[in-house]
Amino acid sequence: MTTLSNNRARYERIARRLRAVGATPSLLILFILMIYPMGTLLLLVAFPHAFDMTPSFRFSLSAFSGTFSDPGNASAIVNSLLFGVLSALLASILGVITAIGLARTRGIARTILRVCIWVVFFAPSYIIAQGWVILMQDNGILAQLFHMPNGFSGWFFSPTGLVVVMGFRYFPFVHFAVEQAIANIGGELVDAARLSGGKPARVLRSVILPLLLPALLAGTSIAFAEGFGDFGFAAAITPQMQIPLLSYQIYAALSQAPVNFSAAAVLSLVLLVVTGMALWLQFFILSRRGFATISTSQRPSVRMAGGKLWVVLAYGIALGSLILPMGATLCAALWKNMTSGIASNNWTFQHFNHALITGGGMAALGNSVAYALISGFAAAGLGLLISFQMSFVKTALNRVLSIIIIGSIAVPGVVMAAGFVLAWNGVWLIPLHLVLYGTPVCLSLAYIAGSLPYSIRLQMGALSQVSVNLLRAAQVLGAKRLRLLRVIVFPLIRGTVLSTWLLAFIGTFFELPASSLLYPPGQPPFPVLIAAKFNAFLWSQGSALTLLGMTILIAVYGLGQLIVRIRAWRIRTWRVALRVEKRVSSMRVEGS
Amino acid sequence: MANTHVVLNDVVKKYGARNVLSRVSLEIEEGQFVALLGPSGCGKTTMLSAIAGLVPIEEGQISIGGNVVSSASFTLPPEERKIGMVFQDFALWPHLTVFDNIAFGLRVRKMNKAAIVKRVEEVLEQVALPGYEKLFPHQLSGGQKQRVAIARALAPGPALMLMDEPLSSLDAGLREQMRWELRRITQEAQITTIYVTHDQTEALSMADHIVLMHNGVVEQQGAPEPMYKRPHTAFTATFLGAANLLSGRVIRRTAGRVAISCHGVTMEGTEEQDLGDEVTLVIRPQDMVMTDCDEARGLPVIVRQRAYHGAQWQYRLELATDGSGQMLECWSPVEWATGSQITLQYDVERCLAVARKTS
Repeated sequence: MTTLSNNRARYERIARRLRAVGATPSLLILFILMIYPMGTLLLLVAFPHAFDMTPSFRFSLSAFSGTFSDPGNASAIVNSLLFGVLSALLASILGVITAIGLARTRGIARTILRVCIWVVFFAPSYIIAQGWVILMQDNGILAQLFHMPNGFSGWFFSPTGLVVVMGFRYFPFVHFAVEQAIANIGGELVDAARLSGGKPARVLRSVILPLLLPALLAGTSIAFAEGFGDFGFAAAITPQMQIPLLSYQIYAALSQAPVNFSAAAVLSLVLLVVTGMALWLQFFILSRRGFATISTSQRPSVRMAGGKLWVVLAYGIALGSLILPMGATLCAALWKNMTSGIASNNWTFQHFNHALITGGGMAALGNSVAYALISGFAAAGLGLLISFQMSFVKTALNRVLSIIIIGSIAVPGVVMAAGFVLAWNGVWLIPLHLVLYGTPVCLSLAYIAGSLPYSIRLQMGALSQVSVNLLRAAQVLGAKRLRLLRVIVFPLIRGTVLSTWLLAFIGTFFELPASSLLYPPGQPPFPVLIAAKFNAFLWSQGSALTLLGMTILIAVYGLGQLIVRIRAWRIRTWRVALRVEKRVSSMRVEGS
Repeated sequence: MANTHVVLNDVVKKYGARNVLSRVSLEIEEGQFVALLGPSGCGKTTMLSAIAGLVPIEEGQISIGGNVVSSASFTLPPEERKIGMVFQDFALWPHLTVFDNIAFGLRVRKMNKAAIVKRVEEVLEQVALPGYEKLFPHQLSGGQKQRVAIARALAPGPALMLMDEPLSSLDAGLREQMRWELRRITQEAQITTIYVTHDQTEALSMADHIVLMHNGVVEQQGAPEPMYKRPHTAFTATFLGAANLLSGRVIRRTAGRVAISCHGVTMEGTEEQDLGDEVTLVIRPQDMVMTDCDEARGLPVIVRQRAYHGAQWQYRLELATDGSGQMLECWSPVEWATGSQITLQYDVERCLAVARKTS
């Protein structure tokens, strides 16, 4: 006979309801980090007096009229659109060339080319931008090395120059999209065109480029979105060139007196909408692609005509975009003075000493290492929890979580930072003693908000490879969620967890927009100090700190890789030892 | 008399608007080996998952050992049901050794170290894998992985064992061997076992009781031999083995026998049907004999196709009574040429008339 007491039934009903809202902790985390800041920002667009000391929630479009009455804001939007489009077009040409060049290389030459492109992809924009400034300015590195007269680079510090350096900065986005598409085009398609009488140029025009077009358009859309919302270039070059850009205007509205919250909110909305449209265009292009280039019966990938020219051009682009700015930074950091050039007695480490000891570098470095550690552990840990929830625990809220995460990836860093300024500075937080703006907590939260969506997506990718039966097997043996995560899930995807930790650490260490807008007074993190050194024309100290930072990141990355490899090596050794032991014992049995 | 161990009472499970389980009721006795048999999509794995607590149910109740574990308003989590489960893909944790895989459930129950070591050794003996503690799953063969998966499920001493097509990942030879092994292990452990399979040979050879599922309902259940010999429906007949199905109508009935007008001839069969009922006659190929004698109780057929299988020939025969093109299957050690006109004799006792579904 079956029994079910009333008490137990009540307890079970409560337990079932709690399980049904299992996604709530994840939703709460995303609310604090993403929904609340972005919601506040959008709120201010429609209710511009919500931040007054006596807040008013009366709907008004005065924020729009106020913002666009400033001609600087309107021209910033036009400039950002123009530079975004032109630099994306240049990036698309450069990206196609490097992708074709890479397809024509093998061995070490291929590795070097790939590494260069990856470094350009990962390097923070403001560091590359400052490198170009150091290289091209009057009395800069190029002028010293080749005795160029003052004004030789006038064209560079103009809209043309800005488009060129932005194109060289964003070409990796196009490159990665096209590289994969080229790898997927089977050689037999080109062979068929050649056998039908098509000459190389005709084959390129009629077969290869049309097949590459969806990937090319998708990559160009991303390059545009990145360029349009990028803060690094705007922060580094706008003050030099007097060309207002949208992301810099948002920064200025929040950091320069008089502070204009409404303008920041409206400009952020514009940035958000345009970036969102560009990314939607990318998804739309890829989803509408009417043909597949991948098949199971393909022969090796297509070989482009044109010989080594593609390779030479690809190397020229990759090395130029990396070595010119980074080489200039290296020279500025290691030369005693700019006038003596590469003379043997002109090399020194004194700028490192000055920047670190007397220039506040040590404290800033400590701050950023601490923030990066917090962001790394939080993004990896929370990412694991939320991705586990979304992958294996079916609730109605999972779809909501998914939309928030994908949406957050599309939000430019400066907009997210602006959202944090507004959200954690609200007058409604005063009675709750929760005004976090200007505290290390607020900056930490912003860093985590920037890293967490990528962490979740990466870990969800890894979890999709884990069979649900591996978890069910543990569940039916009595394991609760924490044990499942600790004993089964984490060991199975620890490589990805480590990668997300590294990504969050590296991303936070050199993160500029949130750092600039949210750092606690008197406690600048490393990127803010670097930017401050450059803005104060202390090129050598700024470059020294940049080099130091990059060295630390390479060391951390190398350490991470080492841990993964040592672990793999230990497992391999252990397995070999087990096989030997088994073989020896079976020989003993046979011998006896 | 054995106690009832697992009870399903009017269980309903839906995926969207689709009923995967439609008011399924079932009683499983303690110590029984029950096979849930059926084609893909019939609901057997969903029923197993509901018993395990891996999916909630919309209506009805599931009880294990007298306690309600699932109802419309409540699902006891799988980790609190104290059951063992063997998965189709084994689901061995690749980063843990055989020892750690088996010890997992014991550690969850906070057993002391010495007791865990002893119990792991015991279950490894039980599945004939002593000395394999230090190996990782990737170092094991398919059959060894299967044994480790069973050992892991057995280790905490569950009262109920669930197996989800555990032999389907193995090759044919190993499957045969593991059928014997599985039966031996579960009998030695005296454990109630629910075994999901789509393979009727597995169900017939291993189970004490077969539950045949079709479109989310229990089509028929019972001991293997009666299920095979006395199917209640054409589906049961064909799913449990090859069967020839002929449509007809009852024209006469006597005690236990019916005369059926079928494709222009009158055939006899067993089963209680009413006069005028539309029925399906079920005759298994092995219950028919091919002969060239022109006897009264036989069906005239023409050999249309044949295939040599070593010990016997498999024939596809066309019924030559009404020109309907009705085909029959039959096996014979005798070789008949294609196009031969012969007679097919059948055993009336093994010729069943089952009601034809009109849905």
